Amino acid sequence: MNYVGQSLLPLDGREKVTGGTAYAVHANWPGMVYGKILRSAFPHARIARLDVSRAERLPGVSGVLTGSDLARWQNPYFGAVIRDQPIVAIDKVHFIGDPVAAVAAETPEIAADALELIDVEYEELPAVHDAKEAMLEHAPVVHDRVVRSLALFDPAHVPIATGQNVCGYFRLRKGDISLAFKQADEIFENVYFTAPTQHCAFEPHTALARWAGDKLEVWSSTQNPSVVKAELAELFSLPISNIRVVAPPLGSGFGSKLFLKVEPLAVALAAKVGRPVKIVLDREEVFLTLTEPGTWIRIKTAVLRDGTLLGREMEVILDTGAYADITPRLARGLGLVAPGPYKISNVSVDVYAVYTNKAPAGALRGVIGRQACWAYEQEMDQIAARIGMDPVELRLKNFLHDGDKMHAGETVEAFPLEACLKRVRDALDWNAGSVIIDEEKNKVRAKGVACFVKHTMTPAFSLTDLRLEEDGSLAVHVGSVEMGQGAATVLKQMAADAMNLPIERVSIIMGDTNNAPYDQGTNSSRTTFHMGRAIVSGSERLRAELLAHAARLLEVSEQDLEIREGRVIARGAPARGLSFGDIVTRVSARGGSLSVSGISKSEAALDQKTGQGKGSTYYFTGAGGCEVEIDRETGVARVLRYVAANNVGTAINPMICTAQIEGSVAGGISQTLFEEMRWERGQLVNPNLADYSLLTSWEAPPVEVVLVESPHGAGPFGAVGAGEPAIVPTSAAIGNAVARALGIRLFSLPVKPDEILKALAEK
Amino acid sequence: MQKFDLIEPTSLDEALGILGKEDTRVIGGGTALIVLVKNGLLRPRYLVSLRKLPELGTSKPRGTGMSFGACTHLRDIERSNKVRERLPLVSAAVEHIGNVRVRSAATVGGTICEADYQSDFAVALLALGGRVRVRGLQGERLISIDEFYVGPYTTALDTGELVTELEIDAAPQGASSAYLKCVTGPVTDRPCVAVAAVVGLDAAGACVHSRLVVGGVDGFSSRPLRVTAAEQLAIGAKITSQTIAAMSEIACRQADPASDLKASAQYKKEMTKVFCRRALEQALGGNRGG
Repeated sequence: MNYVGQSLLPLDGREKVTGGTAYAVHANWPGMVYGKILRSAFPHARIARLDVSRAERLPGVSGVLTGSDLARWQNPYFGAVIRDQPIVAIDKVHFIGDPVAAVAAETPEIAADALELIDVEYEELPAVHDAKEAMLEHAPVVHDRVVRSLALFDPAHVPIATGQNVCGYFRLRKGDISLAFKQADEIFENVYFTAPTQHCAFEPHTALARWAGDKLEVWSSTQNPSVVKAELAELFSLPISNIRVVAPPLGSGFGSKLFLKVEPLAVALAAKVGRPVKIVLDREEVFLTLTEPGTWIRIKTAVLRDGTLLGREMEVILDTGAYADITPRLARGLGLVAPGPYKISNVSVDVYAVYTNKAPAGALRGVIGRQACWAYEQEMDQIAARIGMDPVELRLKNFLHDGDKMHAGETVEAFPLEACLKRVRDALDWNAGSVIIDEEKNKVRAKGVACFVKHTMTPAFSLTDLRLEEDGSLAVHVGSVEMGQGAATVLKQMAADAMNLPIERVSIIMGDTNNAPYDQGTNSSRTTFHMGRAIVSGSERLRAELLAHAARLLEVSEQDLEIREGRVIARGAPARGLSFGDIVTRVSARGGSLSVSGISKSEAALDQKTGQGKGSTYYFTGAGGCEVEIDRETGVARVLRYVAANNVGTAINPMICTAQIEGSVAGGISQTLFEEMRWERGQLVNPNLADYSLLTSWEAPPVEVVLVESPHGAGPFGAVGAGEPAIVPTSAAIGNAVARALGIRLFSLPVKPDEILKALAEK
Repeated sequence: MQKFDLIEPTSLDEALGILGKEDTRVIGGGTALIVLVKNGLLRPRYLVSLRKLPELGTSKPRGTGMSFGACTHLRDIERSNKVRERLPLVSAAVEHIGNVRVRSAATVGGTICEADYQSDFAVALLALGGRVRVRGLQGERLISIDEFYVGPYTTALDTGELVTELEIDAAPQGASSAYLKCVTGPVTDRPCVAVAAVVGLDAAGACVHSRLVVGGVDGFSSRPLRVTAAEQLAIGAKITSQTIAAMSEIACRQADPASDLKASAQYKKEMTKVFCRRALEQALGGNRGG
């Protein structure tokens, strides 16, 4: 049996397209009330007076939660890295949209009406809206109290800063950067900007919570139910075992549904009113719940005339918004890869995560790899142009290869950058000088490429429970979440092969922490790798147990036994054997089962001063290329076609890999051409899908996906993840194509028509 | 969202009676109105749907043009061969509105009464000419489409009146037309700038009919800008590329757009020139008829 490598249809496909999937938003409980949130109207203010009495008296209202209700919990602040976010505002608000109070009522309409009866008086405080300004000495301070989280993993490896509005700082040093600039033939320096964007998952954040004594049940649209469970335990001072978190299939997440989001409010409100509470955010609230940070990136490169990259210095500022979420961790992840997938002996990187009075920022598909790539890959094209080298050749000359050291010092493996770029080059029919001008229509076409390296969240930890039932079927309990990416299908393929079972004898059971052991989360493209490894390790244990039992039962030595299609048989005498079911029943009893755990664990260790050590279990690599057409009169750029070549290690399910890569590319093009959260003095002015533009199928080009398979020794069946990486080079590939077509270089994202016209006029 | 009562009268008189109540709005497909209600910009107590009045859902040829009942869905206009034959400019404009789901829900009456400053539909209507048939308790009146759009999100409708029908004239025999929309975002965006051009030539190739209308460039007002000075420039002679450039230049000069999230005023002004030129070129080079 060989399910790995087959393009099986996604298990949830039929259910999804026929509207049969039950999302969290569909869940309803007896006696449930609906929660609505009153949000701050000021970016930074002290709450001088908060009077909810009129709202409480409205018929149908069960209760109103405010900061004064939070005293019953020892530390009512949450946060994945820094516990800086109160369940609901305590004395102060930090951005327009910060929850000030929450109402529970019999209907959502009554709850909404009650919000209007809450009287709040604010004393405005000076606010800071720009991350770079926030670092200045006299800038307003966003948080006067910062508590280090008892974070559940990697706190020791996430540097937290406590300076002026800086909540995270990562530093990487290698070699002697000043010497590199002295020895350079050419020095390049530029500053790049990227706009904050939002994930725009179809399904809005939803949480239901109910208490039964000191037991708590939460249903949530979350990407990491195990972490949410542990965070809730910490926040509400409960034993972890008292909490059940259910995560139904998600209507996508893209990083917006990681760690605590709406759950604390639902839980606290349920405690306050003594009834189950359901909260469903509306689209505007989704925009205010989590964003991708806007970035400011300064990049300076020392280059020799022959194209050798001698040194690179980078300074990156992430606009974290009002709460840190995981930006300190993003700062570290970004710092590991910011210089790009190249051999550079002298490196200096400083990444700052900085508070401002805006909606909190966190992870989005690609975790800012796209933004770093926007800078380093546009630099590569400029370097190539100045030293007179083909941009593809310059990259090929400088790539890191298997056995080389990454910037933090890890020896890299499965780094087929050269193969990826060559596949893109060939598919694009690359000719560096080629610019096609249609004078009549005033349109220009050109191609661009970009390559990348991306880290994965490390340390990482996943557990699984495998239970072999009396009929020989296998239940695999995982804390992974299905969010349209195909996790269940891919895990099932791997489990079937690992146990040598027909695939229909395997069940992947997801979405309930009462069944599944801890998993760090469905993020960072880590499920195939980490949960796959956990399943493989569990399978090895289970097979060993089965062999040992069979050896005893059959009186055959283990060495003479093998596992085939759900049976343990004697080598060369297949008639002599036992089915898995027989073994289970004889070892256990009728109705019994055999359980084992599987584990995948990775460690990180980075020197705080130099960022040297082990920062990522493995790295993703790949290349992207595209052909862009620009209307020189309107400045409108269209991507005509796109080629993505990514190393997936081993494609467990090539169709799903391809679909994930296509989705990443479409998302990246959307963010490159259209997406931008627009803030005006702390007010988000486009928090809806009419004013915030997203790519439609009309603008989405055909995507040619090349699955490069360079197996990773640590990956299950050699696989690495495929969910995010292809988004990383999209912006830079488009930027390089635009530059080639028009002879102008754009430094800000998104690429807007009037910016293109302005740059053309200035040229 | 504010609660409201949805009323579905079964006769026009009943509908007009309800419209006399305070805080009442007529709802068509709801694609615009419900967004406004959701955002608290409108707080109606009653919404009157006309969908149970079959006489408002019919469209028919009228003269050389067409008349559309107020409840006609945009998607039906888009798919109608009769509209494509008689009013190709309307067909062309309608297929640019929102997406297919929006067009399936939105109605003619709702679309013209919304009077958004970025409207595909209004621009085409003004380039062809027509009348809005309006009923109130005092009786019926016809408002010329030129006078229908008054200001920002404002029409010439009086309180208690509702639109029953829209009559659109065909372009003169032999004239040809083009509708072009400029967007800086996805295709589903409302037009940043929209241009409708209609030109009719005589046998000798001299221009005898000309309309040039630009949408989205009269501040935030819902009035499409009819560039009569440019139209007059074309009349009586062959339309050369110089004529087109001059016409586009006039349109650009007259345009007074507002900056918004999708583009700056300066960009919209420049696009007025570009899209006027392109629309005129396309109208002249395009298929004849209607």
